[in-house]
Amino acid sequence: MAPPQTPASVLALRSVAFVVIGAWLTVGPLVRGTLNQEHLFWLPRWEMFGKAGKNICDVRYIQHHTDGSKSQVDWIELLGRSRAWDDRKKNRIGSKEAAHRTGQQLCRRLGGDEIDLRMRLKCGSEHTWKRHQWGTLDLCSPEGRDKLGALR
Amino acid sequence: MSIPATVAGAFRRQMLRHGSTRSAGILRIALTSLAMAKWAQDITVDRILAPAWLVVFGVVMLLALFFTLFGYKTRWASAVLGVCALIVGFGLNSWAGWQQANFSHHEACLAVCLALLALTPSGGSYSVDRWLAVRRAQEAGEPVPPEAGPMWAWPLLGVALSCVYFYGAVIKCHWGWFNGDRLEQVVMYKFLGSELPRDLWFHAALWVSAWGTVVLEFGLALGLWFRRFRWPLVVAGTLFHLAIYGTMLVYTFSLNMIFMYLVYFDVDAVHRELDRMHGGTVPPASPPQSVA
Repeated sequence: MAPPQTPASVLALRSVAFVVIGAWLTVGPLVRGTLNQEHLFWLPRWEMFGKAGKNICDVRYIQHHTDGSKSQVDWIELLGRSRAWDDRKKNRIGSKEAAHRTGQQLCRRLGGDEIDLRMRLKCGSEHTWKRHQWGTLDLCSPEGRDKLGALR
Repeated sequence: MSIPATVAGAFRRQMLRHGSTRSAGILRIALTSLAMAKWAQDITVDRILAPAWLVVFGVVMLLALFFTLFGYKTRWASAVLGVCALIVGFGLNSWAGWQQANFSHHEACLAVCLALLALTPSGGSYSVDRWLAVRRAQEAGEPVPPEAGPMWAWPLLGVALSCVYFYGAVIKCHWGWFNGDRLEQVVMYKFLGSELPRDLWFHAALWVSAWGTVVLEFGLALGLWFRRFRWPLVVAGTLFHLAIYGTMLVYTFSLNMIFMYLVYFDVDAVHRELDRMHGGTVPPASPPQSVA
């Protein structure tokens, strides 16, 4: 059976719709996503994990001893947490403030003001790791406690 | 013939394209089922309660979902569903609190696919509409109408899918992705907590995954249009989506993408392949089973 004849007006309407929708599909994500025009909410934006998982920090706590040596503190063990596979993601530290707060807990567990505890902290972002602290501040010192207060 | 004339001719042929509706029918059932899995529980009357216009919206969308799924009055139902899906996927889901983020590209992708599907005669096959059309023709002693309709908008579905992959790859084109930093963050957030493993193999695996993802996404965006690369890319894309389905909490998105691979195949070739699968014969009636 031959396909039915298509009137010229229908053909014109289809052509316009095809071009307009095609432009919306192809140029829309460029404008809203790549050029970051988020307020144009009616345009599509595709990212596929481009921004997922950025709320995580990688943190290591380092104890500086009086003889000049350093040792890494096993903060998970010390805080009584677990490294079992199904528990590991509970050990998430998602911000600078949370990392400082965990540091203060470690100070109390390790022995208070006498301890020199520092951290190497980098947190996720849309593009790469961002370093926030790299062993410059003694978390157990008054300055360290003040820093936590300032972050709150 | 000049290039503009060739392009204009191809465009005109596409606007007049008449083809099998089976691919659209299959996609209609698949995408509508996903849409019900994604949204239907949020738009029932008992979940919304207020405001009144949202209750009405929910009822209209539910009816459109049911009608489109079963293929009854499909032309109108799929159009209404397409509009409703766009409204939900591009803002209402966040406004109403059905979706935590400001924008879910998974939901927007499903909405775009449903809206584009409404531009095709998706009720022409595997639908109540088709069953009624065949019955009417047989009762009138006329030949059964062909499973065919205007398929001018069919390539737009492919364009949509290619754009999802293309821009998904573009947004990853920065050093933080290519050196594995971003995947480290994703894996730590999902599984490991705030202890980044200092294992070389871990970093090597993430580095390979990061590069592989971008190469695959660009490959899928462009290569699926070419017959030569289509099947290998369909297999690679399906494995990729099943992998992230199993690990990254993406729910309907993976299946949405896998179902949409159908749009890159010629609709008439799919029709012939389905004919070949069905065999075109009616199975003989089974004898009644005796009870021991």
